[in-house]
Amino acid sequence: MIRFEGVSKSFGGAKAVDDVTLSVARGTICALVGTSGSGKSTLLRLVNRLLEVDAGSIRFDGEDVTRLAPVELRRRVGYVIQSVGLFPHWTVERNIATVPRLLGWSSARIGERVAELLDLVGLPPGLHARRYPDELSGGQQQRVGVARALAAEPELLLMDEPFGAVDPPTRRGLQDSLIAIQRRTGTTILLVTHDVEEAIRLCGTLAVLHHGRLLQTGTPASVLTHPASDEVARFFGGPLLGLNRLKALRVGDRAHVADPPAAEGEPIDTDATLETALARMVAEGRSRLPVRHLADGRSGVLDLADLVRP
Amino acid sequence: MRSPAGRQPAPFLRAGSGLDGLPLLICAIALAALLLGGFVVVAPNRLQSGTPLSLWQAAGPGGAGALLALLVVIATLAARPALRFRRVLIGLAAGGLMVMSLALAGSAASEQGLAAGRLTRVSLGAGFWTLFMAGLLLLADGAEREPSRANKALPLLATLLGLAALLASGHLSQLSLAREYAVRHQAYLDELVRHLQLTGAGLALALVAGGAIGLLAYRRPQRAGPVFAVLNIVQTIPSLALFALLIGPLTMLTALLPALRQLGIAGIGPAPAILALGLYGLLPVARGVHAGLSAVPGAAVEAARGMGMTEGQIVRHTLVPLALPTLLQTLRLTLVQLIGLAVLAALIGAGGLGTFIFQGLGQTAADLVLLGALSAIALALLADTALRGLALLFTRGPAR
Ligand SMILES: Nc1ncnc2c1ncn2[C@@H]1O[C@H](COP(=O)(O)OP(=O)(O)OP(=O)(O)O)[C@@H](O)[C@H]1O
Ligand SMILES: [Mg+2]
Repeated sequence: MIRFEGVSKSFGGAKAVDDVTLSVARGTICALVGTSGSGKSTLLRLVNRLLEVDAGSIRFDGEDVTRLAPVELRRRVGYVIQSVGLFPHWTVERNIATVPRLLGWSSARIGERVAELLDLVGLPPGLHARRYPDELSGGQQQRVGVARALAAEPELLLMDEPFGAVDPPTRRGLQDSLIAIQRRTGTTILLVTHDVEEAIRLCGTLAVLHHGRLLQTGTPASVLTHPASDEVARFFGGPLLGLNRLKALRVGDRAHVADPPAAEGEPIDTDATLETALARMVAEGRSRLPVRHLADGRSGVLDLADLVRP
Repeated sequence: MRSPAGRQPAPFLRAGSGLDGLPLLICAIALAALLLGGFVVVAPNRLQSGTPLSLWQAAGPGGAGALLALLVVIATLAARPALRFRRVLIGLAAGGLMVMSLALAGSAASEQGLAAGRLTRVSLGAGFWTLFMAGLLLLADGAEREPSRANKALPLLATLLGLAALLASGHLSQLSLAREYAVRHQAYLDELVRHLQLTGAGLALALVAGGAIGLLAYRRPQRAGPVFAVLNIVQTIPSLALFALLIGPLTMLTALLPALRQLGIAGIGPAPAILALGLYGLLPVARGVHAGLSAVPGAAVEAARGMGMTEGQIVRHTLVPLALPTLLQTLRLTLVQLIGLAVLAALIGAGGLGTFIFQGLGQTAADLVLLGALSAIALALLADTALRGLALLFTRGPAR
């Protein structure tokens, strides 16, 4: 869906993005992670041509973005900007309707869509539709920014730290809604985040940037189990990397068949994370948990030793 | 805990005390000036200086008593912060003060004129002006501080209506100012229109050129410094000198290109005046446009572009609406400044209200000078108020 091919971009001699090659398959979510100033936002802006590449190319659906008209391209690509950037003189409703109005949707269709989106991001339309951005909290503004980006059902979503100012429980709720939308519409998402847990929860692919260079790409599990360099390991927690790895792996990855079932307690699901399993072991004082429904339908167990297996 | 109002009087003028200090102060000054200065001045003819008449002598006990009563009403209202619609009431009373003092001066002029013959001139004295300005200040202060739009507008409109009715009634016709007007009312209208034309043309020039410069400076920030440095130099040329300086080049230009003369462009007259006014407006307009656009949040502009707005849509939907308060303020300040400066146009033969001022100075006829000057001031005040009102219409109401 989107392919970066040797992409570089400098600002006055300093390279912000340096020879990045990366593919994001249609209908998947890719998380861009990396330290502050590593070029994540710059990479997103190159996609919708708020910036132009110095070298290399970016293909959107097989076509070089420089051959698409920027305005049409941007209307097909949802964009959640890092600093939110709501239009302060427009109500929440009008903000969300930005792209549908540019595309000339009927007002009835726009009204329906706005209400649907507000519900989706957890802001009851009756309470919030007619408010102005400066009457919302920071987290509420961010959610309106996400709704605005989703409004015209874009084929590609660029999200720059979309939930940075939202409290953890609400954030998890929003992540779930995003996953649900993504499953339903098949939108491709390129998401920048500083939150390791968010990256692991949401994304099929992680791409780790450092000083503009792409250090490693892969599934969260593979990156966390086999970090390609010290930088990657440091980014994912340094000495605590092991704990983050437990977030990326699932019970099904490590459980084994036990005949006969030889564990006590409430069985754990195969798609629970190993972190959850460890938390239960600690809380219940057991080193072994029964597991519900292994891949072949049989039941199994998970031992504490399974967690530390390489 | 708040102390009961009756036992402990709030300290005068203390911020936050709830007591409105400014109206009280204005009332006190107006009262003092009335007791000391002459309300009207009676002169044997239009060129000689006259003797002042006090309010008591000019308006009699009834008129003087009514004016004093109005001052007392205003002071009482100002001292009662809890009263609803207090500012509106003070504003209406202030407007009443203005209309009534003008009406009393008009009556005094008619009486003195009858008593002392045709040549006698009755002009407005220091006492009248203090009262009139006090009313104006009270109105302006109330309009500035009143939050609701309707309550801001009501006293202003009522006062304007009252003054207009008084002028139309002919009650003021014996005042020296009105007689100066009466003998040249056709010329007055011509020069008023001419003044508006000069100001309008100069403003248009300043808006187009200054707007373009401001936009350029916003788009290319590295150019902003030098551009504003040049404009600053233009602004430091004394205004009279600028008018005169333009005569030379324009005369030369018309000599080189006689075709220009057919278009009415000459070294003297409206062309250099409009050019000078445009040049004066350039810096405030360019700076206002630049400041207004620069203050638009960068994130909103990036979002607008990122959502797929065209450059025109970004300007229409984001830049202009978000810069609008500053842009309207720029328009207001520039317009007011140019209305005042256009008075100088008369010096280089371009006409306008300045004509009467310089004629009056030549003849030492103070009231003719006043006719020109007051008209220019009134014009500037009207423009200022109208544009303030417009700005209010374009801003969102007070946040709940
Ligand atoms: N418009 C610009 N002009 C000059 N330098 C820029 C510009 N935008 C970004 N940079 C520089 O490029 C580098 C990468 O910036 P970028 O915004 O992509 O970082 P980031 O990874 O998004 O950081 P953060 O996590 O803090 O948002 C930084 O060193 C930044 O200073
Ligand atoms: Mg960033």
